[in-house]
Amino acid sequence: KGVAQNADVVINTNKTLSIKQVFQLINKQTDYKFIYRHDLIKSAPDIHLEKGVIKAYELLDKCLTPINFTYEFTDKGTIVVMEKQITNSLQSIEALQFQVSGKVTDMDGEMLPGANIVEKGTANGVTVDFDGNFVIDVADENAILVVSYIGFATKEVAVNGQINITITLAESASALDEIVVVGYGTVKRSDLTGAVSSIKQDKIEKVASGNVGSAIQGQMAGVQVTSNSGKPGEGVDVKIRGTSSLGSNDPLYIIDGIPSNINNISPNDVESIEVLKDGASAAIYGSRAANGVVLITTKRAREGKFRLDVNGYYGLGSIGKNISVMNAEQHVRTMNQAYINDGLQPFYENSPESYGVGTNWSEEFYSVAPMANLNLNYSGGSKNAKVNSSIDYFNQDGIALNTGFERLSARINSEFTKGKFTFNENLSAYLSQTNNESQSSVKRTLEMPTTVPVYNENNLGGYGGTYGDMFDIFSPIAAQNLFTNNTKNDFIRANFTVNYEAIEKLNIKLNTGGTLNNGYNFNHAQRYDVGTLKSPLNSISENRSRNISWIVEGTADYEWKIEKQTFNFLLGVSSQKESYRNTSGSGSGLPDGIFVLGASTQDMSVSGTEWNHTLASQFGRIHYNYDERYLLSATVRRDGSSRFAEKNKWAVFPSLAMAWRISNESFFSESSVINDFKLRASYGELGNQEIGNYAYSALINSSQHYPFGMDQSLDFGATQLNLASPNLKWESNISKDIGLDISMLRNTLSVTADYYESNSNDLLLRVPIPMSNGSAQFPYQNIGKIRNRGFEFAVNWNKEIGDLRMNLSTNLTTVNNKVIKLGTGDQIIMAGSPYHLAENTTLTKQGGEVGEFFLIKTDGVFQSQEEINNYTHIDESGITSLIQPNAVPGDIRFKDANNDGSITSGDRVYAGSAMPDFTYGFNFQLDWRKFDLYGFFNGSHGNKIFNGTAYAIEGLPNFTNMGTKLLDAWTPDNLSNVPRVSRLDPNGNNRSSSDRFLEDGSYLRLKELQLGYTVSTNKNDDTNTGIDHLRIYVSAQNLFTITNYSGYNPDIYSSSGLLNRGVDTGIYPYSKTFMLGVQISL
Amino acid sequence: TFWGNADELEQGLTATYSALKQTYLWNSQGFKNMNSRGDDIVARIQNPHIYQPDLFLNDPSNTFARDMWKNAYILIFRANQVIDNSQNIEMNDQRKQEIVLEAKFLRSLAYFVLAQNFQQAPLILSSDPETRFPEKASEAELWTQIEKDFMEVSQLPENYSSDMTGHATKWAAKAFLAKSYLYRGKWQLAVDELQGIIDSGQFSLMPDVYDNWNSENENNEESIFEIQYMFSTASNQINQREIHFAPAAIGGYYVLSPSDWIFEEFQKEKTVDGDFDARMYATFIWNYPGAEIYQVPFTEFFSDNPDYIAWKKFQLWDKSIAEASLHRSEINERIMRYSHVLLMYAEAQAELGNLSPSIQAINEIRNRAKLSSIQEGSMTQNEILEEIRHQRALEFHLEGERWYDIVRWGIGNDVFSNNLERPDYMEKFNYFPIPQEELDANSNLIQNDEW
Repeated sequence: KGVAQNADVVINTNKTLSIKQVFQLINKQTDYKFIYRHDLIKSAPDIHLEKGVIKAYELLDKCLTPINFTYEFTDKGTIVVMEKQITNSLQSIEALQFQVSGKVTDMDGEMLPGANIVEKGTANGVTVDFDGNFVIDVADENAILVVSYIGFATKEVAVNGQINITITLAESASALDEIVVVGYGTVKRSDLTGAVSSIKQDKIEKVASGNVGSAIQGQMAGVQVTSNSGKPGEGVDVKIRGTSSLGSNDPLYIIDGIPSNINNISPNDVESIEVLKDGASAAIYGSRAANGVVLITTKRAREGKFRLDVNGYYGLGSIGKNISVMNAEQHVRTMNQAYINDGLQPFYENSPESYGVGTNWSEEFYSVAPMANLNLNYSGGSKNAKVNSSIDYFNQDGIALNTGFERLSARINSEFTKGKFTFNENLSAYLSQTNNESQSSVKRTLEMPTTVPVYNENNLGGYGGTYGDMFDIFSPIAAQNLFTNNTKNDFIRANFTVNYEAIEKLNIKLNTGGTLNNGYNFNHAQRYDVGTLKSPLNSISENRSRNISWIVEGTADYEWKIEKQTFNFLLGVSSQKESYRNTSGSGSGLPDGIFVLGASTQDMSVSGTEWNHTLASQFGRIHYNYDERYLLSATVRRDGSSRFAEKNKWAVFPSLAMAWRISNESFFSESSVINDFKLRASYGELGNQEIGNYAYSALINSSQHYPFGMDQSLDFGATQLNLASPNLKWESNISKDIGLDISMLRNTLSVTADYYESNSNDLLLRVPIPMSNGSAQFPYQNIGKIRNRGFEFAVNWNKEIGDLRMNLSTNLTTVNNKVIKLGTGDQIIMAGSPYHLAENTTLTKQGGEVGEFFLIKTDGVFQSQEEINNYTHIDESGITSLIQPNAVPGDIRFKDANNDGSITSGDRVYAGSAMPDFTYGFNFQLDWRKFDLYGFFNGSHGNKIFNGTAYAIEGLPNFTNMGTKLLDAWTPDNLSNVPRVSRLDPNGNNRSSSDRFLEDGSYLRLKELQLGYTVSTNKNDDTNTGIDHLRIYVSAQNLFTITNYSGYNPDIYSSSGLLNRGVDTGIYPYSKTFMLGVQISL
Repeated sequence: TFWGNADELEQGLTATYSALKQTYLWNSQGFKNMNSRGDDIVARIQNPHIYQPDLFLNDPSNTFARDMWKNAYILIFRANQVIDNSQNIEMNDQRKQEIVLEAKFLRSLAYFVLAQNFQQAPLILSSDPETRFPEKASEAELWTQIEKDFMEVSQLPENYSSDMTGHATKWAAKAFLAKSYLYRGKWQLAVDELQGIIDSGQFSLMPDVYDNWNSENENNEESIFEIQYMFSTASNQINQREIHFAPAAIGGYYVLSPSDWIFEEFQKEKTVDGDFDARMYATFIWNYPGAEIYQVPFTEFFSDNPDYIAWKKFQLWDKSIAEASLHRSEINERIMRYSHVLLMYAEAQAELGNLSPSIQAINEIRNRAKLSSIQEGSMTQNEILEEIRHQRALEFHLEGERWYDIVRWGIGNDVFSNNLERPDYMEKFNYFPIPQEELDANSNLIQNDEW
């Protein structure tokens, strides 16, 4: 339309024409036809035209304004001439007499050059200039300005007589014009055919966190993030649409086009995160995409004035929850009872009272810990040369003694355009150090007998420790002081892209880059003598590793338009290699206070390993758009991986997706309720190759030495330790998705809903094969099928009431997981041991879900011998026998599920799932004048947790301290339902294979609550303080958690793998943190 | 690829020998399984997987039994690789045949452990068997294979050059063959093999019995087969037995302790000099006059616990505290020595009613312990058998014989009937049940009837 309006009309000589003649002139020169009622315009005065060129709209304005008529260019090549609305009847050219100037900025005060400002009800409009300023002449001081900008909610501003207005636009989450990053390109959200979740920087940086993963927890439908623990610097586990593999379920992370690790980037450097959830979106990443793909885009260089942002916060964290354990007197009384109950001599000889309160290990171990972050970012530049650069420092002390995390990162990104070439590079460095807990100190804090003193100056090292029959555990205080366990990572990511626009719409792009990760572990143990545990020598071990990966990718994309059809083509090739090498050394006998390997005098040893992995790929995509109504995407990728034997090396991964924008159909009446309505359907085939390297081959291990000869010299020994799996092939995954996107109520409410089903075949797993095969490790096999299906909903709502601006968004995810086939069919996989040497708790078998709890059911506590005697079994020959012959009153009654007359592992039955029925998150943002309030909740419902911590301190697998729950243990005088304490436990009350320690893991947590106040927004006002924008805020993390779970933290993920999920083995607790922060822009 | 030449076949054999030293065979945890159930041992109530078998409360979920099973089959897999791959290797035929026989010897040791501990188990004789899901072999089938292999292995050389000490010999094969016969009550066959060893004249008892339990006199004239340990930073070369059985005061785990019964059993008979049995001094350190441990007077070292009975056998008792605390035991495990041969010979002959040669063999053992000789004709057959049982308990205390003897002789009910601390003994505990995880992974495997 704009073209037609701006079309030039040539006047070859000065003349005066009637309005009808003017129409004919325009028609002749532009082909546009006129529709009008001749009777209404015949009064129009004749127009005098000078020789020259005039724009079509100027000509029309000249004709029609005097008679209060207006016109409209339509798509069909016509110009409709009609009467102006009454409200506008007063308006005339002469009436444009009130001039307003000002600026348009985003919420952060960032200028928005290019924003549109239109006087409401008129065609009168201007565009904001390069510096973010505008000047517009409006009819009068009561005019209303309509301000719009792509990606932001359109806003109406009353002039109210002001001559200088700063207009602030809010980003619009529901904006259909939002640009979404997809594999090897971007697409407007409205053109999206697949299921892609997206989160922008503003939501990410609301959550103060050491890593990106925890910042996105609960923010996106279909993306489940659980933390390995509350330890500073700890990574997270991300699962997209459930678990489709029994091996790795980690998504593929791509940072600025480079495969990378989500833990090696500061959350402050992230511009946006897109998650490709369905098969069709992810298939462009082929063999690595079965678990979904997470695309992270870092902050880009932006055109405009140079700008410096400084963000910082400081906070204090403390342990959010305490687990109640016995004091020394209670411990002595109960432990002695456990010995006496078994006919053993009591362990403690003195009276319980004489031990008093004893040591409160939790108080000694946990403290209030500070965390701080400082981030500097500057950006700016011209159209042809722009840069963004940042430096970021984060330091968090752990609430547990001598633990913490420190991170320093810096990055620079710049973009230069020269003719048809655009050069872009990213360079970032990320240095981190983690001080870890040693000797499972978190768990030991609960287990350590309170009778043991913290310090004992007679002991080497100076700490008290366990002795006698007590479990050989390190005092957590001693462990955290005597042992040093540091991990350092130096990480560099660099890439360089060249884009060459060969002809219009044909872009050829070369992306080359890589990552370098130097890892370093340092362990040092001072010599000690801590009760039972002793080591007379100082010892040290160090491990250095170097992981280097590079990638070279070439792509060409071309957009071709023909009438209403738009085609986008993409073709690409990719080549990647990853190499790893490590060296480690250890030694002992170092002098005190010296921490270098070279000072070792004994036990020196060195070792090293190396591996390589390569991947070669070709891929292509066609995106087709017919009239913004029918959208279709097809992709294919072919991958070849070094991880498989020759015949299975290569595989092809195709996908197809379609979308229908019903709201753009002519039959879809323009409704005020629904603004946009899109239906999507997709199909994709994906792969998973995460089995480690060389798994298919029969490796020979060459460290199986043995000494021979009278002088005993080592002979070199080598053999095959594990069975080979030469037929290994890719895990394949077929993923289907249907979804809809609706935008309603003037685009203030948007809803996205998806239903998906993904089927994984040929799952790669180390299947337990009979140990009689003699394989040291179970070999990988392609053994089964898993199906995941579920719903996802995301709702976003924006509303403005006066000065109050609200945004609410919520999401909900369900995953239904089922093992369709496993191995030979009767194969089962047991896992999930909650404690060293404890029995397994989870089972995976055909027809069930992955890692469901499979336990013997408890049925109360025998209150009398009579109840034991009555609990009998009658076999076929009519002989009656006791089901629990070893039981005495106070022991647990177990259900004999298989009815064989005894309680064995055969009585295990399904006891619940570690997988939630649904997980959800919701957040709200309220802005009122200078105040803003943000809150974020997340939760999960319907999952079970095996409380390994309770097992340790209530199940008495060892001589440890106990939970106060056992103070109510059954005795003849206290007929309770807490089983009696017993050291030898002949009845198996304490077995981990029963549901005694299985708990409901549902929770709702207020993860973040933040209140901010914007002190000033004098954008670009150099006359004042020099500060453009200043905001201060206070926030609280993990303020409360509503849960019935009695352990530290219901949001757990066992880092030891999928089959152990939901088994809480005593992880570092979350801290509750209060923070004060400031954001400054210059 | 591997398995292409003689060197690689030797490396494969070496790797098979190294599998003897796996944790749950002749190393730390294996020794617990081999000893803890005997009445001469008390387990520390610490790790249920150790003390439950000791108290006869164990079930198929016991991981110590499971891992012993697993380690035995890892050894078998390695031996089978050597045997199978030897066929395609061109090399000196004689050495090649020796290598195969040595591998069979080691494989049979593994089956011996399985038969002793589990009674029934799958018999896998190929590194690439027809099925990965085997059924179990009966007790008789296991023993038949063990006997067959040891018999074949008897073709090994009588001895090797000194740089090959530690390789299995003809005599090792014959001694274990005889031991297998003993477990099956094949007395005459046992006598025949043992007579051959005795008559060879290659072996004799070391004058000091302690020379079998320290690191000084390894591969000595009493030794028939030894598992070789040395101090090296290469993995798995140190004998972990010492730290697991050492007292807490030097950082040991004292997982097992001697029972009151065995301590009294040692004191039943005084020597010709009226002193304690020489083996008692070689086995224990307790609070006797002049007793020293870790170069410190016993009373000083155990000042808070003067009744402590420490093991001297297999311990670094004569090192300083600091040095002993490093737990670097190089002590070889002499799993077959001439005293085994003599007492097996005495037992088989006595069972056959040949009392005279039996008494002669017993007297060799007694005399070394400084006990008086038994006069021929002074004892009935039953008394001699009783004496052999007594001598075996003392001579082989902590060497993994006592418990299996109890099972072999079928005397569990007698031994444990009056043992108040271990009232739960039943005959089904004579053998471990097949591990639950193995049953879970192999539906062709059926749990033993008693379980």
